[in-house]
Amino acid sequence: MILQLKDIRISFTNAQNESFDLLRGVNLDVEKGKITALVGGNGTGKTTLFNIISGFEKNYTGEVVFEGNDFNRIPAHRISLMGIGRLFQDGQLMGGLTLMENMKLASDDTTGEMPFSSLLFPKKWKKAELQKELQVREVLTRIFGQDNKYLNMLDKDASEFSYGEQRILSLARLLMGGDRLLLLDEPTSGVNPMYIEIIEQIIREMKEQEGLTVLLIEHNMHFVRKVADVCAYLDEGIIAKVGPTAEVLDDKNVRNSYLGL
Amino acid sequence: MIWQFVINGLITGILYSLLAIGFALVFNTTKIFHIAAAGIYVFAAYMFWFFVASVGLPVIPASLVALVLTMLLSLLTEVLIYRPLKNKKASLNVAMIASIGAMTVIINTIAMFFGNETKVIDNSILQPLTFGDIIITSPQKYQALIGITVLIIFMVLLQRTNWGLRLRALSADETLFETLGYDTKKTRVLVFLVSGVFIALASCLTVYDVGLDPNMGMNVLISAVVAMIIGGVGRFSTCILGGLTLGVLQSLTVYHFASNWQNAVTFLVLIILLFLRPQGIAGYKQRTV
Repeated sequence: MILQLKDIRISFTNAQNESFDLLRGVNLDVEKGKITALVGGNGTGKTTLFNIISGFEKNYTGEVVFEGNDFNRIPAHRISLMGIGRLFQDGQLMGGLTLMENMKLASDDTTGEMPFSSLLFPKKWKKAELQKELQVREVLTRIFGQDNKYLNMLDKDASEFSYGEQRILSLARLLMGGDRLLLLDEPTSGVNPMYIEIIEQIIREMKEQEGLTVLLIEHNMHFVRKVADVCAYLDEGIIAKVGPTAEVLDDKNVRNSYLGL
Repeated sequence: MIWQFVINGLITGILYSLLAIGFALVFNTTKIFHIAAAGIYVFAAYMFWFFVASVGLPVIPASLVALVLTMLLSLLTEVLIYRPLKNKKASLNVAMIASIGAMTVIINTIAMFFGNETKVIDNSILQPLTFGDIIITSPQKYQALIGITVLIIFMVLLQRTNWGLRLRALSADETLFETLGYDTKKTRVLVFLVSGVFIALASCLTVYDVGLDPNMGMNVLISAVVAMIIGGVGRFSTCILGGLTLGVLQSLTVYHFASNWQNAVTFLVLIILLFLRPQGIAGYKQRTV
C-alpha cells in the first residue's frame, strides 16, 4: 500500500454554531500503481479528505500513512516534497506567469533557490535552468506528442489559456516534480468531451508509463468506469464500499443512495 | 517652467513607487491590506532622524541603521500579528483591523517618545544641479539616483532570479505555491524583510528633504496605494508606472491650479481614469476560469 488512511475523523461547526461530524472514521488503503476513484455525493467530505492528506487540514484525528511513514500534521509543502502531487478543483495554472514558468516551478530541481544564486553563480544557475527547460519540453512532448502546439506557447501568460487547456496543462505539470502519488480533484469537471478524452489518456499515461499511483475524486461515472481500477464510495462519513470499480458502481446500495437508480 | 514641475513630479513618483512596492509586496503575496506600512514608514523616518540628530551618525550610516531596524519591525508585524492570525484562520478583514491597530500603536509610541512637532534632518542649503531652467535640489538628486537604482535592481531580481519567480508565484496562488513544495512561511519572511527595505528607503529619502512628524504616514500610504491601483494590481512593475503617473499628475495640478487643489483634482482624474481602465493603466483583464 502506498497510502493508508486510518480512522480519519473531522468535525465542523455550521452557521447555527452546531457541531457536525463530516468524516466519522475513514479507513482506506490505496494500492501502489493503481488508479483509485473516490466517489460520493456533494458535501460528503471527499475534498476535505484530500486536504487532510495533502496537509491543508490539520484539525482531524486518525492517521495518514504514506509509504510506511506516518506524516500527520506535516506542513503541506513538505508533504509535496515527500512525493504527493495534487490537482485542485479550481486552482489551475498561475496567472501572471508564463507556461514555462508554471512548469519550471514544479520541478524538483532546487538549484538556484537562494535569492542571489543566479547572480552569484550564473553558470551553474543557467545550466540548471536549461535542464529544467529541457524537462518541460520533454514532459509536454511525452503527453501531447511531437511538435504539439504548447511547445510554441511556452512564453504565453498562463491566464490566456482556456479552462480545459489549463486543466490538461496542470495535469502535465504534475509530471515535473517526481511525485509518486497524485491526488486529482474532479479532473474532468467543467471540460468538454475532447479534453475529457485527453485527460483520460494523461491519467492512463501516469499509471502505465510513469508507474504513478492516482487517487481521484470524480462525479463522471462513465469516466470512473473507464479509468479506475478500484473505487471507494464515501457515504455518511465512512468508506461504505470499496473494491473493483464495476463491482462498487453496480452495487445496489451505491446505485440507490448515490446514483439514485 | 512646466518641465520643472514634470521633473518634480517624476521624482515624487519614484518615492511613491518605492512605498507602493513596499506595500504591494505584502498585499500581493498575502492579500492583507497592510495599513501598518504607514506606521513602519513613520518608524523608519524617526529612526533615521534619531541616529542623525541624537546619536550624531552621518546621514548614510544612520539611514542604513534605520533600514535594518525597519526591516525588523516589518518582520515583527508578520511574526507577531499576521502569522498567528493566519494560523487561527482569521479572515483578511480581521488581519486588516489588526494592521490598523499595529499602525496606531507604532505611531502613538513614536509620538510619545519623540513628540508631535515637525522635525528636520538636515536644514543646510546645498548646491543644486541646474540644467537650463530646470533645478534639481540636492535631496532630489539622491532621491532620483537611489530610487531609480533600487527599482532597477528589484525588477532585475524579480524577472531574472528564482527568488523573483517564487515571489510572483506566491502572489498568483498561495495554495498552489505550497502544493508545489514551496514553504510559504519562509517566503513570507523574505517578503516582509524586502518590504521593510522599500518602506525605509521611501521614508528616509522623503524625510531627508521635507522633514518628519508622527502623522505623515497615512497620507503618503494612501498615495502609494493609489499608485499601486492605477498602475494595475497584482504585479510589481505596475507600481512604478502608477507612482510616476500620480507624481506627475499631482505636480501638474499644482502648476495649473494651486497646491490646495492637489488632492481633489488628482483623485478626480484618477476616478475618471479608473472608469476607463478599471484594471489600471498596465493591468490586464485576466481570463477567468
